[in-house]
Amino acid sequence: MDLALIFQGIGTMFYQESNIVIARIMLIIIGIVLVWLGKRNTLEPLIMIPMGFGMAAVNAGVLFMTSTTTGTLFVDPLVADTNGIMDGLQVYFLQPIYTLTFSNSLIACLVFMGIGVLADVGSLLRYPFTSMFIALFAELGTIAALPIGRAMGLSYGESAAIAVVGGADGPMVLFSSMMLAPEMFVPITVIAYLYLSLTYAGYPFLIRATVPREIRGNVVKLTKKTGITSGEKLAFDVIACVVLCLLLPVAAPLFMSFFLGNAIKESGIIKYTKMLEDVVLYWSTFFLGLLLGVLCDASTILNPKVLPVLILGMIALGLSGIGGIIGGFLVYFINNKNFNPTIGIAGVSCVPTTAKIAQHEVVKVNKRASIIQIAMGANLSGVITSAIITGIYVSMRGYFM
Amino acid sequence: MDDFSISFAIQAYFFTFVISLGMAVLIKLMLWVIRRLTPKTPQPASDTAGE
Repeated sequence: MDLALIFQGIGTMFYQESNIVIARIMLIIIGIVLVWLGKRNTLEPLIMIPMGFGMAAVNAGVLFMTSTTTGTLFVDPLVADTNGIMDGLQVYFLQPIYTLTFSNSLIACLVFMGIGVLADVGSLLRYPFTSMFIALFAELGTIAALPIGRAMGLSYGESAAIAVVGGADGPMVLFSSMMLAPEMFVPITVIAYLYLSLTYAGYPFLIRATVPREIRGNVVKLTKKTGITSGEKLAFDVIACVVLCLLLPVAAPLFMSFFLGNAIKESGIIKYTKMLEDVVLYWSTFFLGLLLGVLCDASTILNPKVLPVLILGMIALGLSGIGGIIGGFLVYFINNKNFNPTIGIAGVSCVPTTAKIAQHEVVKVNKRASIIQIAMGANLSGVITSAIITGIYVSMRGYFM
Repeated sequence: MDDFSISFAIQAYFFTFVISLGMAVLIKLMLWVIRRLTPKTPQPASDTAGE
């Protein structure tokens, strides 16, 4: 009796190359660590717990597919021909969700609809120029990472897709990597989500290092503005969606999803709002995390391009944070110091994480200071500017692909 | 770094800059138009008026 054929998860380790085996063991450990860090709220639990689980399980559950090949029963991301997809749908248990929601970016759009429902565009409508100005500076990483990626030997498509990590918007990274670097979308998206989780941990240090304590506690004296009605928010959703779709049709699914989600909330259709918020957003986030984890098998991580992706993603996100703070300081000086530069970090569009981080850091210095209203405006502007850059990168792909 | 990627990134940023600030102008314009077109609702008379 060959025990390797009975307990194949372990048995395959004796037949695979040593680097694959080491990568499998490492990924199982990393998966468990991600679950633990998600449970502790060090990393975003909504993504990290299913992702860590998927990562650990897919690297443990390797079996002999034929006498000479190994594989898993989770998903086959490389299958493309019609017959292969039909076979895959019957063999791999996550293949239906992958084929019908991942490879066409539907899952990114569903997450975006959910984000649209959660977003309140009121603060953006109150302070449109300040919000957009900060968000534009917070795209520094998204822009600068493209030539840096080229200098690191990555292709234009790969560089542009990783540069979008600087926009700190998970669905956007998934969308752009599918469009610009489909062969690298797994490592790019996994790394993006890991880094986006790390903004929780990293950006507070960036704020403390760049914004002096006495300025960090600044109370922003807001000029009296009339309230924004739900009708005005709805009008903005429709007009902005149409204008952006006219300008950048390649990103129209993202624009429509985001503004539709927000329009449904502002229309007061409670049943749809609840459906998108409670079901669609959490369903898509759960399967996004799970599938990203499952796609993290050893061969993906051993791709030699993963290291530059890791480095470039970190550069993009770091530069965007620095750019946001610079934008915050510029507004601070333009407004005769009646502004809090910490808000700049909220221009990095990780909704609503970066806005919360900014508020948290301000409250630590001055308990009476509330900047969340302006920060949310910058945050939403960040979503819009990131979507615009993504649309431009995807539209201009003809020049470099 | 090759010159093409730098000029490409600068162009992409320029377009983003124009569109984003255009959005801000659009917001201001939209709010102005909506508020001009929306009839001002008269303050409801107090129930106790004249008492």
